[in-house]
Parts: sequence; structure tokens; C-alpha cells
Amino acid sequence: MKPHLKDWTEWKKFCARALCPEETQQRLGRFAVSRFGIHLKRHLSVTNLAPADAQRQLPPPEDAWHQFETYAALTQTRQGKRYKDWIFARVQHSDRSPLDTIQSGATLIIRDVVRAYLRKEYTPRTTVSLDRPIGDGTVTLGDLLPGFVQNEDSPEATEFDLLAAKHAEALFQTLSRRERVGLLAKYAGVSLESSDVLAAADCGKSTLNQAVRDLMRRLRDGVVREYGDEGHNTIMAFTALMLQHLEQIIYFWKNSEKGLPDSFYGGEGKREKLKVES
Amino acid sequence: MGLSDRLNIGRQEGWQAERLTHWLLEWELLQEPQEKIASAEVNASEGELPEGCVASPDADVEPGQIRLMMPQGDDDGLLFLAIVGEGGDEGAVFCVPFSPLSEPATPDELLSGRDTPVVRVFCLWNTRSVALRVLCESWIVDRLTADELKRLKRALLACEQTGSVPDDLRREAGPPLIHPEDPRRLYRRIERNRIHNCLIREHTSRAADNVILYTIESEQQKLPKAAEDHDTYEI
Repeated sequence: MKPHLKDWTEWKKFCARALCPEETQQRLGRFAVSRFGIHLKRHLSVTNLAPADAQRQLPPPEDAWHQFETYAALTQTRQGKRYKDWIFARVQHSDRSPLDTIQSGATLIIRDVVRAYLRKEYTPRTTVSLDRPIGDGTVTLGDLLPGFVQNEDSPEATEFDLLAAKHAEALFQTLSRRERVGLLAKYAGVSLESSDVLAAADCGKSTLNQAVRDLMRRLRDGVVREYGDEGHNTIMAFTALMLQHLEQIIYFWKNSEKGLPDSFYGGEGKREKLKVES
Repeated sequence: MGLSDRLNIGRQEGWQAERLTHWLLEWELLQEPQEKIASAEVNASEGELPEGCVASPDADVEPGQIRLMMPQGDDDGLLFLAIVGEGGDEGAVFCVPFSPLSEPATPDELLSGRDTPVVRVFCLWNTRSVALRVLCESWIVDRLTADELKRLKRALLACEQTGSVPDDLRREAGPPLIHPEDPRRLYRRIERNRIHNCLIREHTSRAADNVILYTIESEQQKLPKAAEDHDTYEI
């Protein structure tokens, strides 16, 4: 018993599934559970849920529908539930049938409902640790949250910062254009597989990935070589400062360098003066 | 005397690791492939929608409103914006988008104080000047209270000056973004483009009168600052 278009229009008209005729309620409830199950299975790999548990975790139709109905509702008024209008408004921009389009809109929301559900209910498959590898394993959680200088206004901290700036500048001067392009792409959040990045770097994705990995290793090795006896926290803090200076240097370079891809220039466009009366 | 003896090096606080871990889990979930569910699973076409099925958009744009943008394409997700105040070109207002994730990613993302997932986090860094005529094609879904709006403006001011929220709101924001290989950089790129494309498409699809008020585009090649810089405009 799959929903009909009329089931959805009645839900929209009555503003709640519970006010719809019994058969409509059943069809919509089954739809929600079915979509919930599909998305739950897709997300299992990043949670501590065993695949066999997925079926058991499926909420009953009333709960699945309730989570869908409340996820994007800001208030209990029709105005606060404009996501329903959003679901129906998609029809005018779609080549698909109204029913298909409405259900794909509802499915998009249920996908987010399942993400929120898993975030609340289940911990990541990996135990939280600063050594935990992130993404493809090139960095750890600890790399993303390095130590920092607490007495940052002290002369020692200023000296530390200047030293990091000097090291960053020296490292930058040794970088090839390819390495600079790869590093800039990383800072800009652009994929190293993007064709315009590869064109600017004048190499293939494997070569560019390797170039960036080598560069990061050189940076780390250089810090350890110079300050290896200063302790882990100091090395991490110094590396972090170097990376911050390197970011400034690489963006400064970007502005004077020709032939870089448009994707390095962000999508934010021109920024205006923000007039805010506090 | 070594550097470590003269410096007071601290670890990031525990809440930052916890928040980043939660954020990363959500990000991984968001990155999972989302292939479309086969259309065979839905019934065949059953005719057209009845007239008046969709509420008209709300034309009067005012600071403090939370608006839901009209969908423009099949793959668009929900996009909620908070209206902050007048700004940019004439006839435009500044809008702060809400994050699709429920944890603040960086020091310039702030918990809104609301529990509803779709409006839980302000993306202060993604603030934009948007033409009123574009916003007129959206729905009002709620309003920020006077205190919420005041807090948002204060956070925006601080972000423009320092790149992060005021010290007293620091624990309601995200951890610092330093490493070039941090996945939050990709997230910001994707979010920036998502909002940009959604609003540009909104604009261009209704550009019959050629009134261009939306201030994105046109200077992409001349942008003087990088994504992480914050001194190209002021409050």
C-alpha cells in the first residue's frame, strides 16, 4: 500500500497525519518507515550499529512520521511548518510526476531525520581519541586540535610566533608551483582531483596527492628536527602556528599568481559593509 | 633554556574534541552516497496538484525573520536564513544561513540556542547580502526574539573583527580551523557554493526585468581575500 497523491494533499490540507483518514495515515506511516529503513542501512557503516540491528532499530510508523513532521517545524502553526509548502513547491521545478517529486522531497527530509537520529542515539564506530584518523587517515583528531600558547601576549609567545612565521616563509620559498597549487587547494577546500586544479598543477591526481603528502611530511620532519626535544605539545603548537602563517602566505601568493583556477576564488563574491546596529 | 620552559603550551579543551567528534560523525553521514531511490518504488503519476496547494511567499522582509527559501531544483535541500538587517547594495539585506549540521564547525559558527535541527547553528562566516526581491520569494517560518537578534549581531560584529565569536560565546561555537587537510575546509567550500548557487539560481530564474540587486558574483576574479579572511568588510 503505497501512498497516493491524494494522501499527500490530504496531509497538507489537514496539516497533520493524525487528522487524515485511517487508510491515508497507514500509507503515509509505511512510507516514512520504508524511507527511514533505507537511510538507516546506508548510514550504518559510520556508526556502532551492527547491520542485523538495523531492522530492529526501525521506529513504528507513528514515531517515524512524527520525527519527519517535527524535524523542520519551527512552530506548531502553519507558518512554522512551511517545509510542507517547500515539499509541494518542488513540483513546479521538476520534470517528474507530482507524486514522485513530493515523495523525493519528503525523502530528502527523512534522510536528515535519520542523520539526526543516529547522531543522538549512536556513537561513532571508532572510540573518541586524539589519535583517531580522520577521513583518509592522513591526519588525526589531534592534528586538527593542536596545542596552543596560553600566554599569547607574552614576549616569549611573540618570539615563538615570529619563529614560526620565519620557518613558514622559508618553507614556502622551497615549494615548487605544483606544491603551492596543491597546498592552496587544500586550504581552499578544493579537491585535488578537480580538473582545473590538476591543470594548474600540471600533473595527475596521484602525483599531486603525493606532492602534498611529501610537503606535509617535510614540514613535520623539519619541526621535529629543530625542536624535537621540546616536547609533543610544543611541537604541535609550533606546527599549528606554521600552518596558520603558511595559509596567509599561500593566499598572498594566490593574489599575485596567474593561471590559477576559478575554484580557488570562492563562491562568496563581493562582500559588502555590514551595517549592524548593536 | 628551551622553548617549552618559557612558554605555557596548553591542549585544546575537552569540549572542543567532543564537539569536533560529533561534527565529524555528522559530516561523514552527510557524505554517504545518496543515490536516488528508484522511482519504481513510487506509484505512477496520479494527475496534477490541486490549485492553491502551496502557500504564497511572504513579501515583507524585516530583520529578525527566519525564512525558508523556495526550492529551485530537484536536489536542493532545505535552506533557512535569518535576516539580520539592511546592507550591501540598496534594496538588499544581510542574511545568515543556518548550517545543515547540528554542531558548530568552526569559531565563526554559533549555536542559535534553538533545538530544532534545521535552525540550530548560525553560519556567521557565510553571511551574505541578498536582494529583497530574492527574499520576497521565500516564506517566513519564525522570528528571532529581540535577545536572539541582539546576540546574533554581537557575534557577527566579533567575527568580523576577530574571526570568532566573543569570548563569552566561545563554548557555543566551533573549534579552531588550522590544518589544511581538515575536512571542515571542504564543508565550507560546499556550503558556500550551495548557498551561492541556490540564491543565484533563485535570482536568475526570476530575472526577467534584469534588476540585479544580489551582490554575489561579478567580482570573483578580483576577490582580494581568501575564504578565511575576515577584513574585507566591516560592521
